[in-house]
Amino acid sequence: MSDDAANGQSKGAAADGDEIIRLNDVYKIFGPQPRGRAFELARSGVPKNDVQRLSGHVVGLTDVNFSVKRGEIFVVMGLSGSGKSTAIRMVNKLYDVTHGEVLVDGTDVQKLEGTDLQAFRRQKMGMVFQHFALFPHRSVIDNVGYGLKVQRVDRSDRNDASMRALSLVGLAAFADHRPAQLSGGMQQRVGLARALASDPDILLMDEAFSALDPLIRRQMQDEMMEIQDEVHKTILFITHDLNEALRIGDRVCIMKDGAVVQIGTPEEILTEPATGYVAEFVQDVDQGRVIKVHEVMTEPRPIPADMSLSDALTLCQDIAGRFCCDTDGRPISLLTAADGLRARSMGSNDLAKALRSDFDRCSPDATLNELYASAGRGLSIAVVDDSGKLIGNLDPRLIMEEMGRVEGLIEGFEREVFM
Amino acid sequence: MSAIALLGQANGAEEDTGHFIDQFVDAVTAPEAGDRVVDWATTGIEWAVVIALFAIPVLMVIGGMRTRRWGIAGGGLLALLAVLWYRTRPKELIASGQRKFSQEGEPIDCVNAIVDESGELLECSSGLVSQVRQNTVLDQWTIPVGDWGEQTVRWVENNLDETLQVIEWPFARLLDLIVDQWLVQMSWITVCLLVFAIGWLVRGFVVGAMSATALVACGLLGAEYWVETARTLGFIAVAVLLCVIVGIPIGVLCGRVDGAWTVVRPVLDAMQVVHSFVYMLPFIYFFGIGFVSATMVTMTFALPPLIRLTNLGIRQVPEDVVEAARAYGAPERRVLFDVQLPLARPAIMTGLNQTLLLSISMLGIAAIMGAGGLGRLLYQGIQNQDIALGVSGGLAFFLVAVVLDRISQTDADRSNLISRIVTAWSNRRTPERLLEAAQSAANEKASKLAEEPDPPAEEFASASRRERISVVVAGLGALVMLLALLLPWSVDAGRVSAWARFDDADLRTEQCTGEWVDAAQLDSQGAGGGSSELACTGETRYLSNSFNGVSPSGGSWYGIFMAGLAVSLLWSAAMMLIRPGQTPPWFGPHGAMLFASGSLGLSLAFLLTNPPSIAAVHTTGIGVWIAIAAGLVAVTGAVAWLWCAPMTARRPLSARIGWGRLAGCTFAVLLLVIGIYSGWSYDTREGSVIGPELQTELDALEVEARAWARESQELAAQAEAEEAAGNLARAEELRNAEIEAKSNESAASNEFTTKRSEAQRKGDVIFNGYQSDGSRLGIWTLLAGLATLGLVLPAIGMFGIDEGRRYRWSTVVGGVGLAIALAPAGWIASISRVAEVNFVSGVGAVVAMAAGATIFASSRATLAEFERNKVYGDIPANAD
Repeated sequence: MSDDAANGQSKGAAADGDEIIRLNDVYKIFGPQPRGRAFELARSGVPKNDVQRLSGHVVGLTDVNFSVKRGEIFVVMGLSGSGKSTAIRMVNKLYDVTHGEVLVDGTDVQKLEGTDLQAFRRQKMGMVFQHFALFPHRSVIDNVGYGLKVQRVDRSDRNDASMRALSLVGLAAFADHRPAQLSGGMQQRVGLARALASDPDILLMDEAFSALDPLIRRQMQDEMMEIQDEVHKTILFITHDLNEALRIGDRVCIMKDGAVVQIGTPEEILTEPATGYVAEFVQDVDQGRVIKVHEVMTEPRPIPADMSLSDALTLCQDIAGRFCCDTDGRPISLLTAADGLRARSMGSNDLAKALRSDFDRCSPDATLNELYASAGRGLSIAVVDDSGKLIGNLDPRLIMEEMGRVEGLIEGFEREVFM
Repeated sequence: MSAIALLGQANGAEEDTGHFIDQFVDAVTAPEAGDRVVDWATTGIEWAVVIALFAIPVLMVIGGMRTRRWGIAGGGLLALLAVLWYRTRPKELIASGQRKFSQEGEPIDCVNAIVDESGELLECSSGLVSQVRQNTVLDQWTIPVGDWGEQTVRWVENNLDETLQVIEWPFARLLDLIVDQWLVQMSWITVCLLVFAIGWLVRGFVVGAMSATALVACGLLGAEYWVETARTLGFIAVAVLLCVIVGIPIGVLCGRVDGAWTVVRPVLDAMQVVHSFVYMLPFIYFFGIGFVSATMVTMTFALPPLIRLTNLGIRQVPEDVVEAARAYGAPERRVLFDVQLPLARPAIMTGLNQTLLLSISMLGIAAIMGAGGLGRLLYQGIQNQDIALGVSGGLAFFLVAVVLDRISQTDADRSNLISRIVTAWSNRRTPERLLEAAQSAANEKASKLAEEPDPPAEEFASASRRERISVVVAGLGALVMLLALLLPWSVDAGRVSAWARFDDADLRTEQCTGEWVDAAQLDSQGAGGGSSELACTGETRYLSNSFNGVSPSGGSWYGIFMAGLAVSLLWSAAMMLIRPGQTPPWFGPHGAMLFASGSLGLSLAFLLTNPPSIAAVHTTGIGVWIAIAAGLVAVTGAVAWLWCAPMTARRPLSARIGWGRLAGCTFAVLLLVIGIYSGWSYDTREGSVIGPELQTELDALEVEARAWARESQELAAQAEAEEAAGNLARAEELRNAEIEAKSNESAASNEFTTKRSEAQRKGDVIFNGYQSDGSRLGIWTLLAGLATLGLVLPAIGMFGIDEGRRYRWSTVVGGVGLAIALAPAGWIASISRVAEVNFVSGVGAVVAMAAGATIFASSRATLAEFERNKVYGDIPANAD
């Protein structure tokens, strides 16, 4: 595995950033005559329900455009009936498009047929399903090795690869069990191992964790992120759970009624919802879990250690506190306005006497919800990078202010939607 | 135009001259032309109707909604107009019935005549000429489907003979190969072993063994039945095999391609709605009667469930699992074989079982269609009212059906064959429901398995020394009983078998000091009536012969039953010593007590059965005495075992006295009283029915007949002599006397026959349960029954409701009850074993058997509650 993983990693790392999947103007109509009236109606922008009423055809996708970059986790999020599962099935041609093109590594998937299509599916992608879709009559190891079996890989090689994939998901001990003997979480790990076994570039995950209990789901998400750190695949992830989307996605695509509503990073989705529909979604999300410290923190502007107390106090006026740093730029102490005033009222102008060192530190990538306890103390929080240098100053009041701002924005959209 | 031109040519053939316009005008104005135009018109209308009728479905298929509506409306209107126009055309007159006409001046009689409008006779027909234009559809409003069908069949017969042969070939070839060349040729033992192997592989050892046993029973019925059994097996095998070959691919196709299903589904509906009697006819017509067409009809009937369930099974495979296979690059072939077929397996197996059951239910129809097999035997049995044929054939039929069903059935369904065939029948149009039931049962089983916690480590209480000793004693008793079966039980005559078989009344070997000669030679004074017995010239001596407990002549079923019980007892004892408690509960101490008392009861019953008066030479063999002694030892051991075995009830017994059981035993004793007054044997054999008085009478008649015969012979000889001497008058006189003598002879022999058959018809000899010359078993069973009335008192808790006491005494009562039931059972079985139709066991034995069973049953529920104590971990067993 180490070799393969290293290859994959270097390959993935080298090519990070370029487009690997692209959907151009994709339409999908379900029904006996998809290219007829229904398609014309859908193309001229008639809403999904009206198309169904007028033509008896169901619109799966209308005018879907998005691209997935190599090495990222791209999450497509939407409610049931929004076309997200249809979209993912376009990528490996489980469904045929009605119109448009689906490019994977520059190949138009929809033009592939027969053995070409099979070879493409074998080499390029692995898929994980909502209800696991394991083969109940095969052992775990045979399930995992199925992709290799259809590639006519020797049994011994196949089993080696399967065991590597299984140990990656921590199920090596269950190789000879039947899927039915495992719990839901374990079954989905088998599903993940099956997708990883043939070492494809792309993982298609169709609501992979939706059927699991919330606790197991979180655990699986964490595990998937860990594995992703190791293998660096491109992951196209489908979910109906916005929290999940925002948690794991590098970028999130929100769909409604077969159309794309917004594409952006989780923060963009949360802080700048494009439409009332997105905002409606976002209102249930705990913003604290998504908004990261670096979006809220202010410039650190540390106090030089030799400054007088009264000068330092003027710098502190509208902020909860300022830090003093050592020569390497690491924060060592904190001056708050209250401490300074108290010291001055006692007749001292010595800055050192007013400083305190019991402040909290955090990383710029921490989400706000991790800081609630620290923020409750009312002291500024030092934002430090990996080497311990001060890069920002987080005033606890700013946390509340930002969350209030987002909430107000969402309410504004809600009014827009309901009025 | 071309038609008119043709017409012109046709007319022009007569007069070649003239301008073609004249010819044309002539042709058009000629009277025949009108008729022809009418002909063309009517033909045109027919075509229009046909086209209109066809246009509707065509337009419906190809068109959109609007086209369809216009198609239907337009086609219908066109057809309606055409028909109306045709109906309004004047017809030529038809005169039917007896009428007189004149043709060219001559009078003529016509039943059916075609006349023109002026009443001139055009055509006279003796047949049924009812319409001039002869268009059945439009003129008579009837559709001659039968005629069309017949034409089609004729056409097929004339033109598609080779095709029919091609269709017939696989059926005929397979039937020939599997049935005639293979199954029928194999010895039945081989087939049984084969079925055992198949059953073992497919369903498990027990099913395999039971199936083989059932087939062995079929084999033992005799060669004629076995051949038909083999034919039936082969017939079903071929039909099911062909159903599989045809049905599963079609089902798979339907499951994967929606279009195929829309076509196949109505066909299946038709196959199931139409009764087999309907489609039987064309098959018989094309392929003749016999196995081939029977197989086809069976397939037509049995195929649909397989197709339906295969289709359903394929469709039921979860979509995402199929998608998973496709997503990993599996070609469609692999998707089918790796995913769809394995996951559809339960459905396909259910379908296969349905097909099999429906094939079995078609065996009767197959027999009517001239196929051989057990169905034919039953059919013959019914037609000839042959009871033996019907019973044996029916048994074989039943066994074959059970075997096939058990081997093919799925694990989930455990109901019996009859209800399964009924279910298969009632669900034959919706076999999907069966699958639902099977699946829910499987799910239930799985969830039960999942819920069941791991049992704690436990083992059965080990045997104490005292218990071991008593077990060994009981086991030894059983062993000696088994050995005693090989010693003489009957000497010189069959104690029980002599009741039903005269030959067994004296089984000594005759030995002659001199020579065996024809009795007729020795007895020169005798009647000379053709007796061919051997007689001894010297002194006759008898050598004693002895027969063991299981031998066929001189034997009985008592010994065989006893052997079974003794083996069970031996098994219980052995298992107790090797692995205490790990046998089924009925092989524990109470089971041992039942086996011991049952086998003792049987050996006692043999001793107590009174031999028939004709078996005067009978003496009891040493084996019986040893068996009884060993039985007593076994019972002693079993009682000792029972009294020290650590047994506890699983649920507390009711703390009240069981008066109901006392009532049950009392009822059983009443039954036994009825039993001794009822007949235990019914004898209609010639030898028994004809008593001494009747015998003398018959003897007299026989002698008389012989005398007349001799006299007529003498008279004939004298008459010949007189004739030779030329004394014709005297000869005539003698002839008359001879005729008279002959008629006297025939009168005497007639009377003899009449008297004998009348005696046989009316005077059956019945022995009841207590008569001194009967078997007298009734008295003994009654005595034992009265004893149980005492034994049951501690068993129901009259002397304290201690569970251990009630258990032990219940066992004793059960043992005695079993013995009471087995004694008459042995009697009935022994009499049946001899298979003399004129000597049957009586209702008294059956009543006594029921009484014994009642006594046993009154104790059974208590005994079933008890099982051996278990030891958990270090906690010692509570040794009672």
